[in-house]
Amino acid sequence: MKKVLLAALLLGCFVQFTFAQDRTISGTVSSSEDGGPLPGVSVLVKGTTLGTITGIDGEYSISLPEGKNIIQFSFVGMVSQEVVVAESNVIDVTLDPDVKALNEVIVTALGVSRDERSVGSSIQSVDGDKLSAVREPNLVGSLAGKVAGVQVIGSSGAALGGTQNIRLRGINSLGGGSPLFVVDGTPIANNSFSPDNDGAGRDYGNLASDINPDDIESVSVLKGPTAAALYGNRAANGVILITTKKGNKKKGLGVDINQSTSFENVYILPNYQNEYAGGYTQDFLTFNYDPAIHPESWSSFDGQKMLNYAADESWGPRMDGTPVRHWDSWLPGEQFGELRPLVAQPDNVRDFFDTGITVNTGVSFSGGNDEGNFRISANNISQKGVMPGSELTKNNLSFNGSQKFTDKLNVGINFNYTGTEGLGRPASGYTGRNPTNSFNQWFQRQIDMDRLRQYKNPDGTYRSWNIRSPLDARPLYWDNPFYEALENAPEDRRDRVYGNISVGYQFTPEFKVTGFVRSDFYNQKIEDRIASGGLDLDFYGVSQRFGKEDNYEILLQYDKTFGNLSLSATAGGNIRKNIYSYLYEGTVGGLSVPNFYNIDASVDRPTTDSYKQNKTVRSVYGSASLGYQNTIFLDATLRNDWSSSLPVANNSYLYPSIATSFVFTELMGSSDFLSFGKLRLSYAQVGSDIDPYEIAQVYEVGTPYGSFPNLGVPNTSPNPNLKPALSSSYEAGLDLRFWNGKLNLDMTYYRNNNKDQIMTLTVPGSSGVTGAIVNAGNIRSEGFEVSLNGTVLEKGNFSWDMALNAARNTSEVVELAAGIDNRQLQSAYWGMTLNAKVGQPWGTLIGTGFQYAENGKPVIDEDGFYVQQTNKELGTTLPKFTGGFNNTFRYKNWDLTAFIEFQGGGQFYSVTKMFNNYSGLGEETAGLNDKGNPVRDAVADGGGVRVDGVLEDGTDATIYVDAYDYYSSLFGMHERWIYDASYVKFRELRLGYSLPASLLTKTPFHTANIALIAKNLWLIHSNVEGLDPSEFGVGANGYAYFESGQLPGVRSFGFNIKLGL
Amino acid sequence: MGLLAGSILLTSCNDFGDLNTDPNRPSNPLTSGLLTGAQRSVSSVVGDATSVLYAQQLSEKQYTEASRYQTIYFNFNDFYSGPLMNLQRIIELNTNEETKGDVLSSGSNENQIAVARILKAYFFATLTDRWGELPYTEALKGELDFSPAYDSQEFIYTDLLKELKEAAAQIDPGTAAVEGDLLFDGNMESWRRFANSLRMILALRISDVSPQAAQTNFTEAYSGGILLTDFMYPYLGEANNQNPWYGRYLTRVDYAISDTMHDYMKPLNDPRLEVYADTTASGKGIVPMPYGISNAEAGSITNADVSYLGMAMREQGAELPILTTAQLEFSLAEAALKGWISESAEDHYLKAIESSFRQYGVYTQAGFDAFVAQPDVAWSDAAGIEKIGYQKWVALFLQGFEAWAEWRRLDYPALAPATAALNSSKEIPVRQAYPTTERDINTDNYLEAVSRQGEDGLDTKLWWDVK
Repeated sequence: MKKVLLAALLLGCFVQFTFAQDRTISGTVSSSEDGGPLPGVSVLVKGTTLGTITGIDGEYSISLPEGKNIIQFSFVGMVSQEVVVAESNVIDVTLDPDVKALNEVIVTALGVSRDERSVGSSIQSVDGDKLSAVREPNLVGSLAGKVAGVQVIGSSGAALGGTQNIRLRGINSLGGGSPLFVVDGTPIANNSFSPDNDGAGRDYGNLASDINPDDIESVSVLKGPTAAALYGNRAANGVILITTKKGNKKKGLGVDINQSTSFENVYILPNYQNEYAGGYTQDFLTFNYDPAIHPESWSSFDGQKMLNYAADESWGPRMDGTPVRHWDSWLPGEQFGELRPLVAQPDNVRDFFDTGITVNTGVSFSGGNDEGNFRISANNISQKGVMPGSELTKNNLSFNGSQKFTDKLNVGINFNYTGTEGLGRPASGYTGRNPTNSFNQWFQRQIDMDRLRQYKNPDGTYRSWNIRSPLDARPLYWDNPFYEALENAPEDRRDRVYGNISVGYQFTPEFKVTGFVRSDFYNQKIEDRIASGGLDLDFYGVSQRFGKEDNYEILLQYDKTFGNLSLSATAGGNIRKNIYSYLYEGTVGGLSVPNFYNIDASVDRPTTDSYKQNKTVRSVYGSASLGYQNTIFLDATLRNDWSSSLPVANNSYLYPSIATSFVFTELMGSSDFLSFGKLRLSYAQVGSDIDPYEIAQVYEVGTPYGSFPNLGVPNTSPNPNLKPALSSSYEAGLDLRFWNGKLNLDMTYYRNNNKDQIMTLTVPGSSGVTGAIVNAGNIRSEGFEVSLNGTVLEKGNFSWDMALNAARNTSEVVELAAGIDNRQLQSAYWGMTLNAKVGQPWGTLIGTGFQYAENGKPVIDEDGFYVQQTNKELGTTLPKFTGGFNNTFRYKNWDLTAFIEFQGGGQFYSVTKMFNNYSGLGEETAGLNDKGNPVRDAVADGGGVRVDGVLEDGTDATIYVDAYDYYSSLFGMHERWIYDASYVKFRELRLGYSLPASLLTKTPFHTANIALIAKNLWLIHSNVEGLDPSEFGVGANGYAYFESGQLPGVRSFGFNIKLGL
Repeated sequence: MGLLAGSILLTSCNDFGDLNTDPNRPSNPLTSGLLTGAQRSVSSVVGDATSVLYAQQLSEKQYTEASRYQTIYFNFNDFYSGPLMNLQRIIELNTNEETKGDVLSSGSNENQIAVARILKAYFFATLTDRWGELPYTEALKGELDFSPAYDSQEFIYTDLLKELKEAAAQIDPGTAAVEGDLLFDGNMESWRRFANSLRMILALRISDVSPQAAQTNFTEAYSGGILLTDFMYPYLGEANNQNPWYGRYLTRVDYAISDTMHDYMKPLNDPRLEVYADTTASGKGIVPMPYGISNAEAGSITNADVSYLGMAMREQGAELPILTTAQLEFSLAEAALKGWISESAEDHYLKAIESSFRQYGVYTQAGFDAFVAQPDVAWSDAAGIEKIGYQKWVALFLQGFEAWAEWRRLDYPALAPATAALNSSKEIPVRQAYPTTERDINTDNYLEAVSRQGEDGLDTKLWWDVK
């Protein structure tokens, strides 16, 4: 579209007339970027003043005087070409973009498109078509590894639309914080509907996943406060600025079709032991017939070998083929009374999961003329998950249009609708609702998954492997996983609309005023259920959330060039209104009519929650950018916010930013080697406020007793003296382009000081409150980002492009409140905590660990058990570096994209691993010990786990400990279950083929591309077996420092067809 | 220029009216609601499971870690920020001249303050018997003191006894009774008697270490009039206010009658045993669960082959004892034995057992007579403490904190630690350790308390536990 605009501008500049003589040369000029025609290209006969420009279809015709045979083609932003005229009178030319000229515009704050050279802060832009080679449906997920300084904390594909959390430049507020998402100037919500704190529950995804990736023209990542200062108090963690596709004049009808189908399979599971069955000891139980309590027909069972069905651990008898009574042999059916051999079921967990299918179909129509343009798109994603019974459907509709009513008055509209419907979204975390939690932590290894598939008895009751005893088939701790997945499937539905209407008036060529009305709202309903007849009380709960944000904005823009000096200024005002409401009802005491899922079925008074929240922020802001000779630019911004949630005395706050950009190659002259160089320096401040209702004393309303109301003093004491928090940021960057842009290097250093954080300080509960909201502290994030991209090789029909980016960030807790040197951020299962500790990186893991003697060996007691040290620092959660590496190869019509993402450092705590071994499911709990004896055999028989350590009296000792006792003793020994979160992941692979134009001539299509795509192809490197450290996106806050019952990793293969009409 | 214009247009920018007034939580305190809230927390004392395990009244069935003293650090924050803060606020609102007139719909100022003081004493007594030294004088001050210092247990006990004495005297039956009172339904006389009864229990607790103060408080309280009926927590037959044992058995079967309890009661043909325990699912009568064995051993015992907590104790609306007449009678028997009161120790001892029989609905004259006639039960002055120790332990069934405290004080019954104990000393805990938040964020005061009291573990004896 920018080409169209430029063409229009240039129309007035080149008024060159041609004189018909001798020979007429004609042809079409097109762009190498998209193959489309280039209008407005200057065509000049070298050594003359004879010239013309190409028409709207890129065609030209020029007379070549006698003796002249070179034609020059030039166009702003493209590399000029000279063509020597030979025999043919038809010369078609393809122009390449001129990277050196760097006239690429990028979208900056407030949606203002600016020449990249004038921008003095770090903004990294990704084109929509480069976001994901494999049609990742969640925008956030597709940013992983694509932009330096972005850390995505993903979730397993098994979660079906699960939350993907994003961090920009580490941690910039005590509670983490995520960037602001802005679509075409409209801030949109990115709340996550996933379980908080302990991470147990169902994940309904993050709201930014409502954006249809096919609608995205480009994503600009405004990384720090400098770039984002104009967005105000929510931009302290950066801004993800999304520009959607607009209509333009193009070849063909302007219809694009994008279809892909892919198949997902579980591929990451822990390694299980396959030697021992369920139980606590290796001895079989024996059925003893007792006529007093057993039916007479059972007398023949007397003496049969049984398993301990009540156990949810796997320390039982060897799976050596001995005929035993399996759990189902006590249940009605033809298998009743069967003795079957006890054999290993190595794939039982894998067998539980289905093959998922994702069908993603999008179509868009676009068009335009000089007065206006439009684009309409529709997209449908239908998914069937790997978790049995899970389904997700997502429908997008969007419309973008703009129309010029006069030369000066332009009206635009942007409308987006997303409807999401989910069924049976899987639970994750440490909960009975999560079958993976059972399989990996509390299970019996000999279970034949196919025998659980029939999860109902003929009388409608449910069957579980975990029966209490032969006489009592009720489940003890665990329901049948199929019952869990299929009968307790929740339903959810979300309708989301966002967009804006704008009216712009161009008073003079320099001065323009635009008004915007923007809105974003969603309505989310979640219905949760527990079917009657299971282990837990039957239940129905329904929640409805409504969130809305309206923005009323006015923007004044002034652009003028005075000789060598250019000025670009904006001023604006905005009123933002947020509304949020939440309604919840849940049955209590069970359902009065079995499987009647309605609040009316509540046996006791249902729990209810009705919550609403209002907030308004008013803002004025302005910016000015001065340029000198297109070489030095100076930017300044100023913004003042008034927030309704702060105390009146402190609710107004002003903050500035200043940035400079210096294109030094303009002074030293560019060479073939260094064709462009720019230095950036900037400083900015951003103020932030708080959630509403935190400054006045109120009382909590609790569950009533009969008709007595129940009030409570809140656990957090309010603070009537809060003031805005302030982040300041320094940034310096260098942008270098070599060999005419064949290789581009961008480096940025930044340092953010996030002061006066508004935080809920954990205070001693004995004060009567457990938290106090205060302004305090400083978190300093500092880091270095580098991106390198370019064309490695270009020869004939072959090209190889690569893009590498990496970032190193440290976020240090410089200061907390006076007298406080540690703040517990969260507590995971069994005492492991995440902390902000003064003088340390944010995210210190503290828990119980080994005590080490001077020689480095652990201290053990005389029985060989490790002596514990509590309150020990065990690691830090933030990675040392993150990055991605993308390679695209093209040969003739073939294209191959391979994308690898990586992360180094950071630690996490694995509850899965702890119980996987505690309960004897894990591979390491079986096999032989160093003596060559089964590790599970009695110590007296040469078995046991070898423990090398130092006794408390200082002497070295080697003691063999019974395997069951050994792993039991490691419960709560957090240090043993801390793992390094580094990984290298082959995320995306695409092999595409564009049908040659010759094949398409007889079809209505002008472009056609088919591709094979693969996602999460291979976890190339990880320091923890059986888990994927890139998929800990459980928990709305995205702390990602522990996992428990993580859903298995999923790999997908599919194909993609793109057609242009 | 634009900025300037904008500023002028938006001069009243900082005025948002009442937009920031919380619509979700009332700012107006209804003190009767605060009292109900505090009283609901009594359930977390009378429904506690860990202390019942310490006292070996019940055994865990399969996952036996709590019976084996795995947990060292216990959290008291919920008591402070929950009921205690509510009660403190009731006292403040009824004391402050600006607010005391606004809260009269919930009862007279004096009566509200008195009830709040009594309940505060009840909670603090439970807490100090678990942890020993506690933030007390400097506690509950909210943002005025985020690092409250600890007081010695001696100080706390002295003050609790004083509070109970003053609160009993403060009750004014001539003025409006308290509202929101789910425990005594506004019966101010019952509150007065509860204050005296609790004062008696607390006085007896310190009798080994501070006999003079113990005697004075005990006799004063006794003469003031004590509870005549069992004081029970009234659970409702609905899930929001149900008996916690009912909730525990909804999805799991974790608690069975312990062999310790069973093996003492069974030979005496104690009729309460059939209330305390159900018969096994496999029809083998009452079969106890061995106490404190490993998970592996416990898990190998078939679920159908052990007796779980008696159904009557875990029905959804089943009441649980807060303070019983049996408890008071045992206390009086002990006081008589000490010569504090000139009444018959034996009479009170028998009355205590009778009260307990009646509490569990198993009293018949013949059955009672036969029971107390047995040599192991029959009173003797010489073995008075031992007799009281055993029978009180049986009577305090499910009153875990009280049973555990009295075991520590009387050293009866003779309990052997869990065979597969997980704590380092392998002994039965005699206190619980402070929540780690105290160590981490109230560090100086915590360290001072630990240096006075002794190591912050399960084995440090409390001030009153001198024997």
